[in-house]
Order: sequence, then C-alpha cells, then structure tokens
Amino acid sequence: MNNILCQREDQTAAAVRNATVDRETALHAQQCPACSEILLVAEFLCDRSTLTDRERTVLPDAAPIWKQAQTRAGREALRLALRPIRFMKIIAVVALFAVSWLGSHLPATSEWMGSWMGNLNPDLISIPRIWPASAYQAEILLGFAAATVLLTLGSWYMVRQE
Amino acid sequence: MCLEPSATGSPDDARVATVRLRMDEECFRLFYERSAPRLFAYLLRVSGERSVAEDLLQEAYCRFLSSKFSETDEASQRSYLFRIATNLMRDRWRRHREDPMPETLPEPTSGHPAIDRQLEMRQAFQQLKARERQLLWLAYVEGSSHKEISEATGLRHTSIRLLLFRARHKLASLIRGNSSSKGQSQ
Repeated sequence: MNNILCQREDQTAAAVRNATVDRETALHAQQCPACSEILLVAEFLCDRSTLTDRERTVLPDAAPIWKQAQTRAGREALRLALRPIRFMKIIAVVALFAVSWLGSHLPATSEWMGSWMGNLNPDLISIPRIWPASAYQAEILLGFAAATVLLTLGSWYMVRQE
Repeated sequence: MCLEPSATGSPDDARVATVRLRMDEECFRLFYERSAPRLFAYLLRVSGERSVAEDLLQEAYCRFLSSKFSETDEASQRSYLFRIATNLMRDRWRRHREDPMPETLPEPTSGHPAIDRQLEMRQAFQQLKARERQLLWLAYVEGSSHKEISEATGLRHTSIRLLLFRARHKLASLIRGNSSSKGQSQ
C-alpha cells in the first residue's frame, strides 16, 4: 500500500457508489491515504450526482427528443434513397463533358480511333460501311460503348443500393 | 428492454424514420426516464452550463436512437449513451476551443451556512479542468472501468490511472482546503 495505489481502491469506490460503506472500509480508509482520498472524492461526487428539484424541472422532455430523432432519421433515409440519383447525375455530367470534348477534337479522335481499331483487328475496318457518315463511325461506336458501360455501372449501383 | 421498433399509425415519412430508430417511442420514454437524470447530472456538473447540458443531452439521445449499437442490456446501453455524451462534450470543447471552467466564481455569501458550503463545494469542482471533471465523474459516479473511460474520452488506456490519480488528488486538496479555511474562519 502506498500513497498512489491500493488494492482496495475499486472496492472503496464501489462501496461509496452503492452507499454500502461499512465499518471495515471506513477503518481501512483511515489508515490508507489512497482510499481515504477516494472516500472523500467519491462521496463528494456522489452527493452531487442527483439532480436538485430545480434542476429536474429543466430536464428536457422525452417526446420532443423522440420527434427530433425521427425527423433526422427521415432525412437520413431520404438522403440515402437519393444517393443513386445523385450518382447518376454526376455520371451524366461527366459523360456530357466527355462527349463535348470528343466533339471538339473530332478529326484527331477520328484518326486516332481509326488507326487504333485497325491495329486492334483489321476486320473492324469494314464496320464503317454500314454507317452513312463513315468519318464519324469511331466516335459513334465509342459513344455507344461509353453509354452502355455507364448505364451498366449505374444500374448495378442502383440495384446494389436497393 | 424492448428493442423492436414499431411502425404503426404513422405517416409514410415518419414510418420510414421509425423503422430506422433503435426502439419504439414507449420503450424510449421508459429508457429516457431511467437514464436521463443521471446523464443530465453528468453533463450539467462537467460542463457547468445548463444550456450546454440540455443541448448535449438531446443530441446524445438522438445519436443513440439512430445508432447501430447492438447490445440489448440496459447497462451497456447506458454506458454507450455516456460514451456518446462524452464524445459530444469533447467535440464541443474542441470546436469552441473552450474550457468551460469559469474564470471567476462569485463568493458564496447566501447567509445560510449549508448553502454557502454547497456553493463552496461546487466551486471546488469547477476549479478542476473539464477533462479532470469528466474523468472523476466517469470513474467514481458511473463506475466506469479504465478501458471504458479510455474509449469514451479518447485518452490512452495506460494514461487513465495516472490522470485519474492527479485529478483525484487535486479535488481532494480543494475539498480539504475549503474545509480547513471554513474551519479557520469559524
């Protein structure tokens, strides 16, 4: 036993908390600096742990807190429900910018796509013949592919959220 | 303790909300009646301000209701509630960069010795730092273990014993100081 530690500290604190300080605990506390300090502090705090009558009158009522929690939960549910829509909006904006950018760089893109597709598979070069404006066939294909991918991603995300 | 939320007789949006809360209104009311006075006392004594204590109490219960805490026994729930409240107090102090300890406290001069004594004791507690008040309250009023205090306050588990010892020693000195000065004056 020393000034700082005593093996009966928890026991003393519990006794004060439960209002069961017996003679043995009191005698021990007289000889033990740590427990005497605990006894003093814990009694002081426990005396203040109950609300006075005046303080009880200002204790908020349960009903408004319940309503507030309900409102918040409703808002949170709405936020979660709208998340896929927000996600799709972002995708749409990104897609719009991507298409605009492609449009402004069309000749270069067309050249690059043509050569890329040619390198990838020479048979694909024959595809443009089915389109009336063969110069833009690569961009159109790219657009369809991007839209398909984005729609698939969006649908998957929405289904997952459900 | 009932935990299954009910969703009867509510408008659509309210029903969505009810389903998301961890207990129904009646269960909440009973739980609140049993736990709120202790929690309010904790918030009031540690923060030292009634309006702050009221705000934090409401916020703590709102967060508790929408939490995903899975324990069903009331002691664990109450402990979790205190943890939420302790975190809220800590966040508030950080946000406002405030230590709610009043700089100057009025002299206790009510004329009634018992009331004066009570005021002196109150001031003794207010002279501690907010963190010290929190630690002492959780340890000696709520009976929280060092691990629980560490989880609630964000302090390291190994530091709790020393911090608690210092805070306890400080408060004991203040109480004894008040008592001896009172004795000398009489």
